Amino acid sequence: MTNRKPSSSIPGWIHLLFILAVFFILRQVSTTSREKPPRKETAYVTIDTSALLKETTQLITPVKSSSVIPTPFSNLITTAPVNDILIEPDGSVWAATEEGAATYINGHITEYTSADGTFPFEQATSLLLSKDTLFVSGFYGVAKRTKNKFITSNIDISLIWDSLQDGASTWFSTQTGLYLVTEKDENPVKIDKDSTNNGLRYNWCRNLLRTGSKLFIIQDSCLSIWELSLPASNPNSWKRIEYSDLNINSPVNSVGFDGTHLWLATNSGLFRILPPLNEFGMPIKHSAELFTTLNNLPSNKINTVLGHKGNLWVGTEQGLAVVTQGGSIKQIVPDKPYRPLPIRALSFYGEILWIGTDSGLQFINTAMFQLT
Amino acid sequence: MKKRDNFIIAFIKNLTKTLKGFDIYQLSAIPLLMLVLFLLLDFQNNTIKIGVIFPFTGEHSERSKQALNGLILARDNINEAGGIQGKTIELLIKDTENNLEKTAQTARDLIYKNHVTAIIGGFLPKDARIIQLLAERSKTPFLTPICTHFDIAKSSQYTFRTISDDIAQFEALVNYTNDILKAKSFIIIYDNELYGYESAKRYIDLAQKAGQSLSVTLPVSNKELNFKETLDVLKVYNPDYTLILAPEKTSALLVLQLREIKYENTILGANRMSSQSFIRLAGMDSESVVVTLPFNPRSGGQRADYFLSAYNEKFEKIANADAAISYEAMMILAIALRQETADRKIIREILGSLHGWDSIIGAGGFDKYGNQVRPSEIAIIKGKQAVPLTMEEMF
Repeated sequence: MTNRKPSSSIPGWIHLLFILAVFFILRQVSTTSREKPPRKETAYVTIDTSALLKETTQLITPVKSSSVIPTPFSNLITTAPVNDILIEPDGSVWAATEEGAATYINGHITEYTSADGTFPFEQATSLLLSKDTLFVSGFYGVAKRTKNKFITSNIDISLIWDSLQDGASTWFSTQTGLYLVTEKDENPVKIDKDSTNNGLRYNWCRNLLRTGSKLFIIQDSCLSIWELSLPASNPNSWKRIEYSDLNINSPVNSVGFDGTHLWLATNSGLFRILPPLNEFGMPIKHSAELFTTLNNLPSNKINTVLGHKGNLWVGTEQGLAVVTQGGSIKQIVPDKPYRPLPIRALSFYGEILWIGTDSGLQFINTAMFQLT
Repeated sequence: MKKRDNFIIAFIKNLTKTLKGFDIYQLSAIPLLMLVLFLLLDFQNNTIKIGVIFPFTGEHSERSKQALNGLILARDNINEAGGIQGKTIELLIKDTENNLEKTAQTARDLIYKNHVTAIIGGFLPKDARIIQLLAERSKTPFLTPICTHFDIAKSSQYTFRTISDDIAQFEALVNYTNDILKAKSFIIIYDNELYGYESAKRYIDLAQKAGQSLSVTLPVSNKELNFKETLDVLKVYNPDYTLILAPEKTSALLVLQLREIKYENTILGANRMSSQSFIRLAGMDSESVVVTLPFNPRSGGQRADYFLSAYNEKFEKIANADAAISYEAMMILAIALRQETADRKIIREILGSLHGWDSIIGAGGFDKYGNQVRPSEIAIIKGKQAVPLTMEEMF
């Protein structure tokens, strides 16, 4: 006969179970009070983009020459602050965010973060698609998409501010220079101040834009331009436009091309560089025209610009605007009384404009209005 | 003593007796319970992490260490007074090693790995610019007590500056050269590093608006030691005054060589030339150089007296402007943290609303851009000290 101590009428395993239950309840309370609600795999009110496109034929209304265009914005798809957007040919939307990567497919958002082990780094700045592989780069390196998570790629570069896919070449602009990765060789080739014999003014390269044979690099106090048909090591392959010559004193956040002119987005307004790009080879002194809230921009803090079909789309701290081919600036505002969000990234998929904001993703159908 | 020992022995006996009565499940529940309690203690949330980024090695180490001392004194005062909302301030101190890549790496890690609540730092404009852009992107409040570049606070929502900026200093210098020197012509010698020209341009605009004429601008490199060619040009123009906008070492070499060529008109400089490192390098030749003074203890009154004596007691050194303005920056941040300790966006909003305060430096406040509004004072170097102008000297 087992001599069991009559110390308690409740069996011991119930004590253990009780402790475990208390632990889980307290842990849950503690976690939920400190952390944001989980965002993974959350279903959102779906606005089917293809449906919107079909509707456009009926919805196109010639907009009066108003300077403000109220437009239906999709519901906000909540993510961490968005730094870049890429849309795959099948319509899958990807975002590089301040916490990793996020994708929006079939009305569902999935976030990949270092916290849950699905993304190797704490942050991401830009996206590119190379040979059907999605690469997400950021301040900690380059991640590569595998089946259901991201892993560190073999491209050993960090402190990446921007990246650009250009046929067989991939460009990374970083704190320490420009890096080129080709399809044949994953080892990045570094292009910096020394290797260009001072053609590149500084090592810190921020945003990139390629048009034709020219690569434009946003730097700390100038715009560096590389004529790609000439070798980087030849200083004559490089040109630079000093911001001080354009009366630009703020950091330049983005560079865009509307098909005619280059545009610089700064914290003190939008600058159109003169003369037009096709006259850049001529010995003309560059100047810039400044556009601010006085010209109907919603804010002077311009975070990003994107050229599309002759128009320039402008993402500002207080919403969206567009500089039309005719030169007028129109604010694109939500048709409901929502406060416009700070815009950090823009990307087109057909006529759908995807907007990356401080709080997540939104889109509008730009075919719903005419820009005259 | 004996009574207490008896009590402890009795307690242990009772505890042993109780434990003997437990079965295996109850006994295994005890360490589990202790583990639960341990995990529930939120150690991390008991501190507010503030990142500190300065070049502690290299030519700016002396000023950076003074700035750090000011922050340490402020931290200790706050923590000894019970902290903020029961939490203590923890400074995560990082050295940029005077290297831009290292600046970017340290700022990145403080933001994304250490999840700091705010960053204090930024020495040269090029360092401050990197921290500014990373802070802006990640929405982390960034306070600079040293960088005076005119655009650093203005072009960013998350950057705040507690030192009077270049423009405030230039305004004071232009007023002095107009009202006291009655100057008509001037020369600027500026360092041709990043942003040197932009700053010089700002001064030229202000002076020309005041009716002065620019004779010539003379860029110099911080790597140069001999400025003979530059000074030969200066001699030809012989302006009413010469303004030097360059780091301490280059400024000191220029002043020494200006004295050698018997340049007798007034030499002016901004706050970097009121620092002890400039005065020490230029020696007696620094006498009578006119500079801007970021910290005048007279303006801070008793608060400044307390700060100076506490600083001296703790570090056995005399506090300079970098120490005082850094102390002020930490205290300004603490005012914001008293209302919110975690949400960086809210902390930014609170900092942005601090338009007036009275500190060890005197009255100050942020403008709508987060830039210090305190006007800059003028001082003249006398007896190896930057001595503020007296009322008599001002008229």
